[in-house]
Amino acid sequence: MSWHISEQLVASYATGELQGARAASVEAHVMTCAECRSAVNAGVAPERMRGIWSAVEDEVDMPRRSWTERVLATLGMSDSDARLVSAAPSLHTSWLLSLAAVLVFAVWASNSRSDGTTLFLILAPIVPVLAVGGSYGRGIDPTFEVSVASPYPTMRLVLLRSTAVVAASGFLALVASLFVPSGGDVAAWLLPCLALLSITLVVSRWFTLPLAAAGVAAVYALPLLAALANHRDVAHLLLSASLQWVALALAVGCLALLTHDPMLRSALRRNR
Amino acid sequence: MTTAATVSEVRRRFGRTQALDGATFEIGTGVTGLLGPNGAGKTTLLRILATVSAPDSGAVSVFGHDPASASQRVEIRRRLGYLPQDPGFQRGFSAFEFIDYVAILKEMTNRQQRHAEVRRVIDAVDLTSVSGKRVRALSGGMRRRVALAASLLGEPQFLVLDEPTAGLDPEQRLRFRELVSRAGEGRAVFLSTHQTEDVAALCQDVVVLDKGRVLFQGTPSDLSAFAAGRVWLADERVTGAELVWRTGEGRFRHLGTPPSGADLVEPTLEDGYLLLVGRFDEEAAA
Amino acid sequence: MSNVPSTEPPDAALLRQVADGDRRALEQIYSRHAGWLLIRLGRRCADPGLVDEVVQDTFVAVWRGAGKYTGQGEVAAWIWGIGVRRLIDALRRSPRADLVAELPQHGAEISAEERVLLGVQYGDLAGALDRLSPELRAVVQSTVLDGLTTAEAGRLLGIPQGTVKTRMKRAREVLREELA
Repeated sequence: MSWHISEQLVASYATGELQGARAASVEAHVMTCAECRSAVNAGVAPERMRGIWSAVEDEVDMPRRSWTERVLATLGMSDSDARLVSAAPSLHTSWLLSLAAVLVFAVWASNSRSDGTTLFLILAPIVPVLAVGGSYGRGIDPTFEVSVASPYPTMRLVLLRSTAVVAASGFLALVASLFVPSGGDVAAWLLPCLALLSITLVVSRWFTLPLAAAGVAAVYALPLLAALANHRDVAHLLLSASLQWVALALAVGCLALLTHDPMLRSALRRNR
Repeated sequence: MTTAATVSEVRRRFGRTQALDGATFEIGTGVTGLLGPNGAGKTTLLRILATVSAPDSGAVSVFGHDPASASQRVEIRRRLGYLPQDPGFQRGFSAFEFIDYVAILKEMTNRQQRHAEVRRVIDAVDLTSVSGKRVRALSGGMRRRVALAASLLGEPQFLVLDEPTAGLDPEQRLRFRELVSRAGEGRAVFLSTHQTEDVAALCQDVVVLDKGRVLFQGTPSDLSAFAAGRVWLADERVTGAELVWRTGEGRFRHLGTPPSGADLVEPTLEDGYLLLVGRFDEEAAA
Repeated sequence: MSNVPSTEPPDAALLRQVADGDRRALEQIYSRHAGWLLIRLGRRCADPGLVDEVVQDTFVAVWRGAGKYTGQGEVAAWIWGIGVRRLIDALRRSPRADLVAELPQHGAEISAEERVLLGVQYGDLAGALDRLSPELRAVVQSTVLDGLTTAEAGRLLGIPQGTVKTRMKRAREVLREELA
C-alpha cells in the first residue's frame, strides 16, 4: 500500500468528527493497512488499553474448574480450599473407577456366591480407607515436597481431602450396598469403616498416609479373607453385636486422640 | 552480610547410610553455593533447610526460628521458596494452573492478586508463551523452570534450590544466573549444583560437602586459591599427580605436587574443588 | 503502540501461535487490533463502558477461537466480525445503550487529501453516499461495509429487519440514479 491516511484525518476519525463516506473510507482502509492501523490505535488512551488487557488476561488465565471444585464451592468451601482439595488423586476419575470396580466385584460376589455377602462386608469398609490413602502423601501427591514446605497447614489439607474422598467413596459404597441381598445386615460395614478410618488417621502420625491406609486395610482384610477361604464362620463375626461395639469404641477412642492433638486443632480453625 | 540460616552438627541417617555426619556452616544474604559429589548429602541438607525433613540430631536455625517447633516452622515456610530435586506436577495442570496451585499453598487467597503474581514469576522465567500448555507436555528443562517459577512466588526471603540448572541449555543457564543474582540481592539463596562454573559466576560464598561433612566454607576465590601452585599442564600424563585429565586443547591437566620445572597455571574453582574432594565424580565430569 | 516494523510476524502467523496457547502472541494481536476496534465500535455505540466490555469479550473469544480462523481474508476483518456481532448481542441485552446519531457535517471543505482518499476507496460512489440521508447511509454502512446480515443490521440500528430491507432497496435506487 503506497498511500496512507494523513495525521489530520486519523485525528478527526478517532474523535468521531469525521463522518459519512470519508469515515467509512478510513475504516475500509484500516482493514488492510497495518501502518495506518497503528496510527489509528494511537488515538486510544494507554490506560484504557491496559485496563481492558488486564481484564482479558484475568479471563484467559482463569484456571478451569473441575466438577469436584464446583460441588465443593456449592457446599460453601472457599475457592482456594476447593482447588487444593479437588487436586486429590483419589478424586480423579481413574481412582474412582478403580474403587467402583472393587465394589462392583463385591456386589457380583454377593449375588452369586453363598458367602458373597460376607465378602462384601469385608471389602466395603476398606474402599474409603484406600481412597483416603490416595488423597495425600509422598508417592501419591506429586507436589508433596512443595506442599510440606508451604505455610498451608498440612493437617488441614489432609482432613479436608479425607472428608471429601470419604464422602465420595462412601457414597459409592452405600449405593453398592443397595444391590446386596439380605437387607439391613448390610449396614454392618459402616461402623467398622469408621473405626478403620480413624485408626488410619492416627497411624498417619508415624507413617505416610498412603502407607498407613494400605497397612490398616491389609491388617483388617487379609486375615478375614484368609479365614473366609478356609470356610471359617466369618459372617457370624462380622454381623455380631460385639464387633459393632468394638468398632464404635475404637472409632471414638481414635477421634478423641485426634481432637486432643494441638496440631489438629489449629488445622481445624479457619485461618483467614 | 547478615546470617539467614545456621546449621550446627546436623546428623541424619537412612538405614545404614549416614547421609549427614555433623555438618556445620552458616548461610548469609546473597547467593551461597553447595558443591559436592553424588551421595554427599546435599539433597538431605536442602530438605532439612526447607523444613521438609528433620535431622536426627544437631541444631538448625532459619531467620532465628527453629524448625523443630511447629509454630516456628510455619513462620519459616512463609518466607521460604523451595525447588526440589525431582519436582512433581499434578496431572492435567497447565503451567499457569500449577503455579497458581502452589500460590494457594503459599496462602495467597485473593485471586486477582494471586494471578498477577503468578504472571510475574512466569514472565521472570520467560515461560509466558507456554503458560497455557500442560506441564507434562513440556520438555524437562521447561518443567524445571515451571518449578523454579513456583519457588519464586511471593519473593521469599530464603530460596532453597536443589540442582536448579539440571537440564537447562547454556542459554537458559545464563538467564537463570541473571535471575538468581537478582533474587539474591538483599535475600538469601542457597543452591546445590554440580556445575562449578555456576558457582564461580554466581556465588558470594561456597560450601563443599562430602560424605555428610563440610570440607570447606568460604569465597569462591578462596576455594580456587586452595589449589594455588598445585596445578600444572603437560603434553603427556605425568605420574605422581593426584588427578589427571585431558583438556580440550590436547594437553593434560594435573593436580597435586608439581615436579620441578612444571608448567604451572592459575587454578580454577574446579581445581580447588577437585583437590579438596580428592576424586572425580562421574556427574561432575568436566 | 508504535508503527509495526516489517520484521514482525504477520497477523496470520501470530494467530496460529495463539491457537497453540501462546499468551504472548495474544498480547501482540491485542496491541495491534484493540485500538482501532475500540474506536470503530465506539462510533456505533455511545456507551464507552459497553464498548470496553465488548472489546474484552472479543479478545477472549480470539484466544478461545483462534483455531477457527480459516486464513481467508484479513485477520483484522475476522476480528471485526467477532467484535461487531458481540456488540449487537450486548446491545440486545441492554437496550438502553444509545447508538451514535449521525452528527451534522461541520461544513468544512473537502481537502484535496480527502478527495484522493475518497477516490482511492470508492470513486464516484463516495459523493453519492454522502448525499444519502443518514438513515439510508446507516443501513448501507452496516450491511455493505460492516458485513452484517439484514437481521444483524436491524438489531444494531434498532429497527425492524423489514425496514432495513426497504431502506436498502431505496438506497440502491438512489445510488443508481446518482451514478447513472
